[in-house]
Amino acid sequence: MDSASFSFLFFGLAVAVAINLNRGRVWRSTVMTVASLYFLYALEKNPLAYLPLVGFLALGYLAIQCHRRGWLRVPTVGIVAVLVAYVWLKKYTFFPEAILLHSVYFTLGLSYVFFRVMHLVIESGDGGEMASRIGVFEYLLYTLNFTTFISGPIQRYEEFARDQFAAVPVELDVATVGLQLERLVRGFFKVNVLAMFFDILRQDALLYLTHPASAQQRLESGFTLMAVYPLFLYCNFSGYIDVVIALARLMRLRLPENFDRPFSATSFIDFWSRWHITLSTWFKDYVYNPLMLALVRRVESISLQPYLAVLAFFVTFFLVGLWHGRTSEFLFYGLLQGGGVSVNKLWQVVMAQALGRKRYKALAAHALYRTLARGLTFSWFAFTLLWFWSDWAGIRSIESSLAVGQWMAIWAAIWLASSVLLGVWEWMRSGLLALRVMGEPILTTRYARVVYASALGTAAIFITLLLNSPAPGIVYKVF
Amino acid sequence: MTQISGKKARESTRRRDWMILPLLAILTVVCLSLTSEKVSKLIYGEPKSAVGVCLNVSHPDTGISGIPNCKTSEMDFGVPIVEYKFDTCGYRSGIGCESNFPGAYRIVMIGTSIAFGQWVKQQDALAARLPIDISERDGRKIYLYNEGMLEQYPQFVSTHVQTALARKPNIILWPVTPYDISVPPLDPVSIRFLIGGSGKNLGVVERWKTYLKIKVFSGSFSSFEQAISEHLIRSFSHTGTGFMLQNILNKNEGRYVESYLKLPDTESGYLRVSPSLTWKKDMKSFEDMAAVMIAQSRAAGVPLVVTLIPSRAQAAMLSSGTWPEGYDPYKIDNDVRSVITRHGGIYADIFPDLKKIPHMENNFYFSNGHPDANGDAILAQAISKEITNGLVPDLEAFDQAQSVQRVGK
Repeated sequence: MDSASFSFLFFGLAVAVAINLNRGRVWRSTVMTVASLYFLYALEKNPLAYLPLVGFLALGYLAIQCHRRGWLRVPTVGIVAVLVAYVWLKKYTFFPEAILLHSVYFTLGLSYVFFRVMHLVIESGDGGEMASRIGVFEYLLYTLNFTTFISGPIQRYEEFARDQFAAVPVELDVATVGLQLERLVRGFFKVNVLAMFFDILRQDALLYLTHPASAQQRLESGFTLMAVYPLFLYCNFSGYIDVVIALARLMRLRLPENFDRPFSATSFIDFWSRWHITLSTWFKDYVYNPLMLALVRRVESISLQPYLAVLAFFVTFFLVGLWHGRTSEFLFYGLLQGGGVSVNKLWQVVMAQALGRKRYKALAAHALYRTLARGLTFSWFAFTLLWFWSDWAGIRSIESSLAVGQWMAIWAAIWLASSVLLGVWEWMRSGLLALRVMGEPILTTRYARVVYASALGTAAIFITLLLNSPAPGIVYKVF
Repeated sequence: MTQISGKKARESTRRRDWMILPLLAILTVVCLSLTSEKVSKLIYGEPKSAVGVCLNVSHPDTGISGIPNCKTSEMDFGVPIVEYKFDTCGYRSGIGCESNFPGAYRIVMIGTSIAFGQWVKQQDALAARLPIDISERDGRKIYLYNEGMLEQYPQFVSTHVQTALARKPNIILWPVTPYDISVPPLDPVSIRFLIGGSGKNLGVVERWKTYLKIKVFSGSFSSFEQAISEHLIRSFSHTGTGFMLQNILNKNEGRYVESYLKLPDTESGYLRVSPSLTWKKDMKSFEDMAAVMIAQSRAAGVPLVVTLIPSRAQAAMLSSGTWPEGYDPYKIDNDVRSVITRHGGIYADIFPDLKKIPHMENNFYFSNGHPDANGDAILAQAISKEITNGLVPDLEAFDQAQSVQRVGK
């Protein structure tokens, strides 16, 4: 149930059917509540394991009410309390072992619950208009809603309430149902076939790299290992998001998009506006924007202001990276994310100053520049992910399997190959989308969608049955 | 007016779509399936079998027997065409009914497909390799009568001991596979179904009931859905597309084992440290069968030597030396040894030799799990080494000088 599995799909579809039996607000919310509670029960049957999560939700609700009613003299107290409770429950390694909870408890989805709770706590401080409308029932349904519980997307309360509690529910016609079913198939295929296939390639490559193999095999394995993980992660995560967005839409709930063809990005900043969009938007709203505002207020020099964005980007994306895990590997991952985005910003600032805004814009729009930049963005992301999926011992073992020069060659090859392949992909995509019939690209007609959904669905079902083992779990559910 | 006609056109398109879109989906699935079948058959060949023409399947008491002097062939995914030639006695032995070879050491091999040498050329099969390998160690001329039969149902192997004894052998060799143990004795109706060519000799209702009983619900399934889904998976995995996908997806030995262990209990349950009740019952049936066979051969003063041939997944586990918790590839080996020796039979344990072979699973065909020519050569080496090391009286490895003397005799 915690992956884009057959059982999750059937469960989601059953809930969607039940919700559509009656258009009434109360009915829809009741079904969603029951489904979400059942979903939690399916994940963990021991009620005691939920106590920390219940405590966290209670603390969050208390902080919201305190903010709204102005009971806290310093508004940040509630924010800090929720933050501390979160990192404590997540057992961040900088906490002394002695003060952590040692019993086994349920933390799945806690990060995403945290983002929703924190969003409410912060927003309730500004006049509390939104928070005043949130009762305990609404609060619990928003934070525990099963469609977004495991791995997001991180939805804002206004958007959730707009659809979930609307007197007249969002329209759901045959065409929309068809589109969602096609998206379900696509997501299922991504998670259970493509991600599975990339994971197989990665495992095999890792095996060759860390066991006796010929020099050529090692080079090939090094290349595969590094190049394939971003593709695996994308299919694993975006496939799951496709499934939950489609299921939620069938339940007349519109979830925000989380991906927008991230490997088409031509800069690392652009990448983060296309990858895990709801996470970066959350950090932009609650870290970057306030930080920039604070910095601009303190630094009056206009010439320095572009560099403030470099700093704000670094802090924001360092935190984005750090959020992913509790260990020092993720600290480093955060540094690489923050470093990548801030160097990218610095490059933009310096180039705009050196060439002038117009000439830099023209350069950045040049096909060759874009192609190479796309490859570089992919390669940098692939490099940073090493600290995401491995640990220090694993990284040392991988690193020592080849000489430094060989690794340099591998990364150069990844840059070149990704530039060419992603460039060809973009060219093909735009070419195919240019083929139109009756004003609509042929590829997006319902006929084309039915053809590829049928093909993907058939392949996915047979491959899943044959493999006889579940696809790798959704990576982002552990964060 | 224009608005009305536009609305009508949209309505008509919508009605048409209710027909076109499902048809399009069906057409896509059919085209995809046909194409992938074609591609897989181009890559791996098309399974063809005409073995039925050489098999006499009308003996509910003795099971399947070969038709004398018959010649046939078959091929499978990834397995080149193999010819089977039955001798004058209806076996793939090449010796015929002749049993008078003075001074020679005589072995009769009984069993199912692996003893028969299915999917392997006659000259490469276990039955052809064993006499050469044993002879090299023992120094004597060895005659091996291969009375193993393909498509044979395991319970009929036990009724074959008396026939084997008629050859007046020095020993009877019985290579057993986990499959032989997993198939418990069937009731007379099921036997008639299997022997009579999928129930052509039964009434329609009885035929379907038996089909469901044997082919669909033969495992220990927790639910009807599970039984059906397992049956579908099994059926799909025997198609060209199924084979191609499995071959691609399970190339990695660890993943192959992992996937195999998730098969139904009837297929992979023998690898569990704590076998299910079904497997315990199957082992008990095997013990009963083996006890009768050993008693019969002992009464005739002929030792019955049993050896367990591992499955492909078991071979992979032995070679890699690693397996998931709760599983043990040696468990069934130890159980069979214990059963055979308890009743006075001889057990030739080849697992210690097989575990030394890197990637032993590569010596088994992926499509059907039978050993290939290399596999049979390795098995022959291991069996001959084991049975000539003092395990079988009067069959021992001699040094070169003694070998020469023996041959001289």
